[in-house]
Amino acid sequence: MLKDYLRDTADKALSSVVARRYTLMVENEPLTLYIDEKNKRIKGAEFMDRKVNLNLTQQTIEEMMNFPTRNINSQKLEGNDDFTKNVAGMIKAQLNLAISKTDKKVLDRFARGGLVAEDERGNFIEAINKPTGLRGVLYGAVKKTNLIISNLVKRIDNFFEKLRNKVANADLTSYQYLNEYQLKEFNKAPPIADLGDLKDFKSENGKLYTMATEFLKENNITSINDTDTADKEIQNTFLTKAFSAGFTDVIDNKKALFAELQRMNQQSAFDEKEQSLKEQIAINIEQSDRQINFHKEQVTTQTSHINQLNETINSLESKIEFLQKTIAAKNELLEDFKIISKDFPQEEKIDLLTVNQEYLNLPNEDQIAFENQHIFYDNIEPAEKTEELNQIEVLKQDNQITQEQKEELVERENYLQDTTAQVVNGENFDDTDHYYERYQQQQLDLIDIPNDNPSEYQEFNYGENSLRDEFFSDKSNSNNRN
Amino acid sequence: MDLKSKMQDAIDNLDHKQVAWIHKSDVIDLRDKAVILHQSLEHTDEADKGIVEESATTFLTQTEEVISKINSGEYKC
Repeated sequence: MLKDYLRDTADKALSSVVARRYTLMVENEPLTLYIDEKNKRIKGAEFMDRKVNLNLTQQTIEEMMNFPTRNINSQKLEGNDDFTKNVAGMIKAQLNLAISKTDKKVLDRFARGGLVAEDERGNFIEAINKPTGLRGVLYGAVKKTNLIISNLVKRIDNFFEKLRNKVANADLTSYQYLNEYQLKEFNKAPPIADLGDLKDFKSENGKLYTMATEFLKENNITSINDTDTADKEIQNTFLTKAFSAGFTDVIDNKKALFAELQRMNQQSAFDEKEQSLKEQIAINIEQSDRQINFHKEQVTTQTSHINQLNETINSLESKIEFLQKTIAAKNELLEDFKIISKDFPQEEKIDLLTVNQEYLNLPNEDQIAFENQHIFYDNIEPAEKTEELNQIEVLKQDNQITQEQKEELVERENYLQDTTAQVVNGENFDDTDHYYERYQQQQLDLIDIPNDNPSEYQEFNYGENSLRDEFFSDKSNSNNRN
Repeated sequence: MDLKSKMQDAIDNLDHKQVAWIHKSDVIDLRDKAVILHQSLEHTDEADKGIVEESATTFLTQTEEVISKINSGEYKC
């Protein structure tokens, strides 16, 4: 018990200063994420022993943190588009890199890791390069549809901006409807205060009245008159009863009987009305709640849908921009790659690297060194890194830290101290701005996206690897363009 | 079936859950484009409608084979 308490206390202390390790099993292959739980952000990730960059949203990170364990099966995040999109993009880039170098070790790991379809595992390299397989068909479709969207952007002025505006305006209608509903429908139900104080309908205390009430109830009397024999008999019975009880004034007794009858009838009518109104109110409130919840859900869903759509628009816009910027860029030497890839995220950098001739001709160990220096590094600021390392040093001396927690700290320390992954800021890029601008201008001058003629689709370079280009016979086109 | 419904069908069929991890990124890429085209069909001004319809039709043709392969179930993990 005390041991658990100490472990939990130490765990909280760890989480507040050190990024915690989460292991996500992507099929049989682990993806390690270091999560800063306090600020809900990723501070490092590893996949197949390489440092990878994953920009997951805070919602996704929270979803991971809500699992009872830090070892998570990625299938549990299958419905999370942000997770799947980012991880799938990273996996695809890693695969492309391995294919570009025919890195059999990594390709074998893909097959064994269960990241490929079962039918393709036997002869993986052959299967993934088969033009009629899914990968081949997808490659062609992605390339061709890139061109379709590029053409759309070219032919419709401010295409993405227009779409964003339309999507945003579509959202407003539901808010408008919700307001109308709140004003007209929700207020239909009468306020409780209008029903008055129900206690006013209770009779004044007094034995006579109590007796009258009991009598009327016992005999189930709801009306009474002075003409019918039966009613006369009823009155007589009560008056006799009251007299026997000591109430000698017959007139008062009769008044009491009729007053009480009248009161009871009023009460009964009121009770019925009250009940009916209460039921109606309950129904109205329930309906209103249901309607409001429905509209709230609708608005939430719509807002989330709109956000998702905006993300999709942004992501596609960036992709098209990337393609347009790189389509005509010179990417033969490593220096070209450094300049062109400067502002692109990891996945795009890999896309560019897989077609860089100088890189492809490097010996394997030099390729790995170059990748580690220019692609597989973490994005943690040096000051943050130093601060976290200092905290780890302090925590390692803490007696309350368990052996398992100590091991986690050492692992994190090693990750942060791993010098094969250098922060790229300022490294080798100090004097490249001038060249980068020149390349940007060159790209703008050269960009000329072909029209919808299907034969010209082949000229659109998706920035994929040369090995695969051989299978799709469009390598020569891509080279000619430069 | 009108173009919008066909595009919605394509969105539904471009389901990354039906393919292995190495294919998911491309399937998501195509689905994203289908979503954008579907939204464009829904919202585009009259002046731009022709271009969007033409793009959507070409897109559907280009993704037919992909969808048929996904639906074959051969590429699941």
